[in-house]
Amino acid sequence: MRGERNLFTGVACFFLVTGALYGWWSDAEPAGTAALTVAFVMASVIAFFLGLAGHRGGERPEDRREGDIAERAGPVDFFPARSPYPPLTAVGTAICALGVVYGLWLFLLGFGVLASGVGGMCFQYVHRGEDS
Amino acid sequence: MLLFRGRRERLGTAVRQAADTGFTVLDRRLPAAEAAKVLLRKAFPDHWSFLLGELALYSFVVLVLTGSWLTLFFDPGTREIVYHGSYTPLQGLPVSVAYDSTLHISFDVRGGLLVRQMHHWAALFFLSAIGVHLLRVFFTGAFRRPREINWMIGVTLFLLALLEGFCGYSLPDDLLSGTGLRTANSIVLSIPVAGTYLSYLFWGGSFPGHVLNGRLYILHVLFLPGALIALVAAHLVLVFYLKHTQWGGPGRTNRTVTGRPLFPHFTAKSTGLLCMVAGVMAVLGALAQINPVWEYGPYRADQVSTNAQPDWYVGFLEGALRLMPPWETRAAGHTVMWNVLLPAVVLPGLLFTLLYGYPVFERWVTGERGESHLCDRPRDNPTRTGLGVAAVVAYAVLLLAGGNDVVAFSFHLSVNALTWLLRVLVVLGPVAAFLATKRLCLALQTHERHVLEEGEETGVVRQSVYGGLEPQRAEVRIDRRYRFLVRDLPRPAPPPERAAPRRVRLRAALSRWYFARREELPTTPEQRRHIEEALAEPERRRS
Repeated sequence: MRGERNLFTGVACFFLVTGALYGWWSDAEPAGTAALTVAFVMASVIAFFLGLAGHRGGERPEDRREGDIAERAGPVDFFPARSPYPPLTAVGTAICALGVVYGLWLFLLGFGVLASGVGGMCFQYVHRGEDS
Repeated sequence: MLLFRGRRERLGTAVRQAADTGFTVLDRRLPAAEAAKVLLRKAFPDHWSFLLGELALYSFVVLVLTGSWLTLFFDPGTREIVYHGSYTPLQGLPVSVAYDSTLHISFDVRGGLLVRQMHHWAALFFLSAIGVHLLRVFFTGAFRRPREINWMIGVTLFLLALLEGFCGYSLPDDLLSGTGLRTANSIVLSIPVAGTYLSYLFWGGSFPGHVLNGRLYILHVLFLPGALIALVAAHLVLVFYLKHTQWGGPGRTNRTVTGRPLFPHFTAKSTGLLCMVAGVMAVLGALAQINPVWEYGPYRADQVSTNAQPDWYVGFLEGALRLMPPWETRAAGHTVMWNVLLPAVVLPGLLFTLLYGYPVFERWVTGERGESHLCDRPRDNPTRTGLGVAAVVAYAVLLLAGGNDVVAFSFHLSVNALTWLLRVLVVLGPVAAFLATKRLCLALQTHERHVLEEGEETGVVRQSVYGGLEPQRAEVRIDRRYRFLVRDLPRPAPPPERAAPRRVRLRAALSRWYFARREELPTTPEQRRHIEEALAEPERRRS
């Protein structure tokens, strides 16, 4: 996963530099600085995850220059076929954000939706492969 | 250790002997053995959706218990006295006896506020549980023959619970409930010709009068609870007699009813549910303030508080009143107030007519069929599901409209623009919901056909030697396949002849509208035989 990791490290570096310059020139204008900082953090998390996954999974055919497509044949990984929880999480996040604008009561409602979405995403496939 | 074990065994024997003797004593005097034989092994369902009715039942138990306690302290009188209780902001204010005794319960009776709030929360919960239970029964078609009469008893319970809630809400004679009664008064007045006479009859003169609170009290603590208890008993007896419906599955057919025995499984589970309902009500009553009448103040006919909302179950009527344009007709010296008559008299009348009549209507459309004991999955009857969702959407829009002032205030909107938006939504929303739901139900059926034809996606993705990514598929599990395939879909009526009477043609058209669209699922001849067996009608019981 070296290629992917390097790509996202590059993205993270880009946002770090632009964020620092933006903050410098705009006297730390809150919205833009926050957005660029968050973008930097998210890119770093992905880069870190890819680095870790590459470390654990070892070398793959696509990491080698002379690797063949046929070498990669076989099971790739588990990807949930369908799940209602990502949209539920999105709705919860949206309500939470509206709650920040309109009041705590709406935020708490949104938090309930968000928590059930996140919980569902975490636990939907917890028992996969245990029976049948 | 040995010593203790001996003592425990002796104790066990003694208990068993006592139980034996007790049972013999009872059985010589009461039909204990016969009852136990029938009742103890009676099968009860264990799917969660069957607990919704029990939630209603147990919140009703909480209501009766807390309500009985409240009657010990409450006085519904309307005589005016001066308040001298322990709530200082109202000291010296002229209030009615009913309002005074509500404050007395809240501030001076030990545990009074807790029980009062539990009672109010339980009432809100009771109506919610009834509503959800009703929706469950509707969407699964559990009202079909032979359960039509039990459905009607249930609808009557719903109606009585609404009235009971409204009566109880009006009793404390605070500014908010008085405003509610003022609304009720104008609703009665809006009935053409008879309105003024009825208002005179109920209020014993002009509004507010002095007799209504006493009448509401008797209705609230005697007639309505009595009717509710009697009908709940009839409802349960019929559930016992007709047996519960069930979801199809291996071993669960239209002829065999399965479930957990009454004793010990169902008893333990249901007692647990009762305790949980009571516990949740107690926690809500202790922590969440509800109906703080001391903040609203005593009722005065010349005052209205802002932000006046009824309890949620009357909210749809309030919303309908707020959405209705101000239409009036003057004819022959009379004024017909459409703005109140349509939303507050015709609309609830229509709602309950539809609720009462729906099983009969659907049966007429479906044509002569046998008994149905298996629950329909909502997707297998798209038109019914669509109608149900349309009704829910209309109800939700009206409920939202009941709080249009609060919504406009909270979200910084124009209340007029919001009212117009909701007026449009209450007409178009249900239509859109019906179309979307019907489409969605058919899409779900199509998805099931795909799953049956191609197998289930396990989530494992494989890469082929050519680099293509494909999901791995597995055989559909037997219980899932059963759930997909065993479905009771009526056939649409054949197209009528040209000369057929209009009634027959209408029925045929409705039948096509209900049942023509469906997704045929692939079945083998053997599966078809199994499905037929599972859906076969039970034999009549010979007495």
